[in-house]
Amino acid sequence: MELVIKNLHAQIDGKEILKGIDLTIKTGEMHAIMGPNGTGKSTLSAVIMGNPKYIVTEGSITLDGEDVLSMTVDERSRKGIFLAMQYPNEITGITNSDFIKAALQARMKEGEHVSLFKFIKQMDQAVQDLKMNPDLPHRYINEGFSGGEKKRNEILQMKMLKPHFAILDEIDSGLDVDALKVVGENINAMRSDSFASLIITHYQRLLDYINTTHVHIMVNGRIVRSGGKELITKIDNEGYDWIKAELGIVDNEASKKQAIILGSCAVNKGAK
Amino acid sequence: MKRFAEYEKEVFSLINENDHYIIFNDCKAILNNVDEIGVDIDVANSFDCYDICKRKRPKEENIISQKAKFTTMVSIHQNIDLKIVHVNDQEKAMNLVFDVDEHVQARIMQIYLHIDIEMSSLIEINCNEHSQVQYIYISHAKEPIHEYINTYLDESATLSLSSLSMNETSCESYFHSYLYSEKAKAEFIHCLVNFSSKNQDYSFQVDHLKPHTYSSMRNYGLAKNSSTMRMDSNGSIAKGAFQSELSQKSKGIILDLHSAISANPLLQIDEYDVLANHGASIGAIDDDDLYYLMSRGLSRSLSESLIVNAFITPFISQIQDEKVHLFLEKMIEEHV
Repeated sequence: MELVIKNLHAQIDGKEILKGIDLTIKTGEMHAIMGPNGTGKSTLSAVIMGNPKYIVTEGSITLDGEDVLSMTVDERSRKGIFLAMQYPNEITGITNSDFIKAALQARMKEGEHVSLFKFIKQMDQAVQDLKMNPDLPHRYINEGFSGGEKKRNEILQMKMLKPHFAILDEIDSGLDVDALKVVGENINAMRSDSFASLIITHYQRLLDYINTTHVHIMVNGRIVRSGGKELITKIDNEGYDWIKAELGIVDNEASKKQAIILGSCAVNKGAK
Repeated sequence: MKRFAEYEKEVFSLINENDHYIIFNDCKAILNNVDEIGVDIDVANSFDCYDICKRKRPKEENIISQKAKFTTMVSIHQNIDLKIVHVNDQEKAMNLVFDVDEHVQARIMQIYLHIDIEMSSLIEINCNEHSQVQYIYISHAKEPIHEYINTYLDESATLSLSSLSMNETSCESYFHSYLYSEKAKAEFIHCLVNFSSKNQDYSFQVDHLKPHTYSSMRNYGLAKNSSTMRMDSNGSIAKGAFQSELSQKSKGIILDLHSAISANPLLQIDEYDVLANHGASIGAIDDDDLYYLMSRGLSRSLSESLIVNAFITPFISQIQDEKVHLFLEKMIEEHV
């Protein structure tokens, strides 16, 4: 299977974030996208998944020739696209197990049903593989989870749903060294001819455990360099200044983050 | 007026063979199997004969207590799992008092199965020292209901109160909890469903009156079919009630353009060394929640339905009884 992104432009609140992305991912491949903060890496993942907050203004995404952009979010998921989110939602009242069971059921043909025995066995195994708390299936989605638990829960869902294309948006943030190893190994264990992943990360650490086949550097809404593992080492040693210098990219002063005064939620007027 | 015989089959569909129960018809305890197992049921003409209300009773409560022809007092002396079912199509007022002895564990499930007449009720639950009380309250009234549910917690008493209100018409419900001795602990879950096209008012108040008391409250409201709902949650920590903890959260989902929910959280803290927090959020179904569920392959309608049902799940998960589960499932299916 093949996911092809051509000249993709996307914006949010009238601001263009993606400025012409070209990327082809084939099953069997493991891609990593690295880049400085605010270059559009997470936007790319959200646009592939179909987050309605983003508007695609130009370009195309196809999955084996089928137009992905015309599909709803759930259709994209059922076609095999998965996004492990950077900030997964907490939803009280829906247990992890009911959620995943419903997601598996949604992938089945009419009249077919999830085998409860099989499901429990697979879920228990996935929980064990990720060294998670055994009570996880009965807990509400991400409610009360630590940052690391939420990330592992995203990987657990990926393991259960077995997508063809998994986008992992900064799955390593919030993970301690041991958790990083567990998550990295579990992602690597997904490698197969019917699975590809697009790993968005800032650091080399996670990629130590994943055998990446392609590495891309994204700056200012574009993929500016693609290559192999040597790029990971170079970024880890030298950061991104070299690529910006090579390409003549100057940081836009206006887009730099500025400090603001938040104010206070309670003002004692009587004290004046 | 319907005769009880018409309801009997439905009432007993909620009762298991080994259940302990009291059945009320028109506010009177007409059937029970708890006489010989440490539960006394007394009836008095006046509400004030039971001095469990350790405060000046407000006017509104006095009016209800005086309207009722009599007061039923259920005294619980031994550990028990008790089911109480009400049907009512004649009496307009009810006074009911539960008094749970010291060190006793009581699980009380109270179900308003058929309330076919406009009525007022005043329910008081007195949790004596070191008692552990779980009170589950299910209200499904077809006529307007005006109710006060007051709980009083003595030293080291714990109360878990879960309510599901799925009334088909307007209602006014006031839940007030008094933690009047040290180390009293109360947890509340209120699930409110208003699809009635009418207005429903709910008020929840917890007063921490002594040190080392704890309370947690979670309110979930759903409104649809041009219905309106008010969810007030108030908490107070009195001077001297140091090292107390209070937490209140309300969440409301409005499911159509013509419905409205208002949540008014208010805290009054008169002591320094305490932990207190409150919060409320009202809105349509959260777009981010929908996106998250849909990103795993669930259709929009299934995702919405899961999110709506999730509001009631914290209540349902408290109930292990299969017969009551079936009753609730049917009720929720009809309404939600």
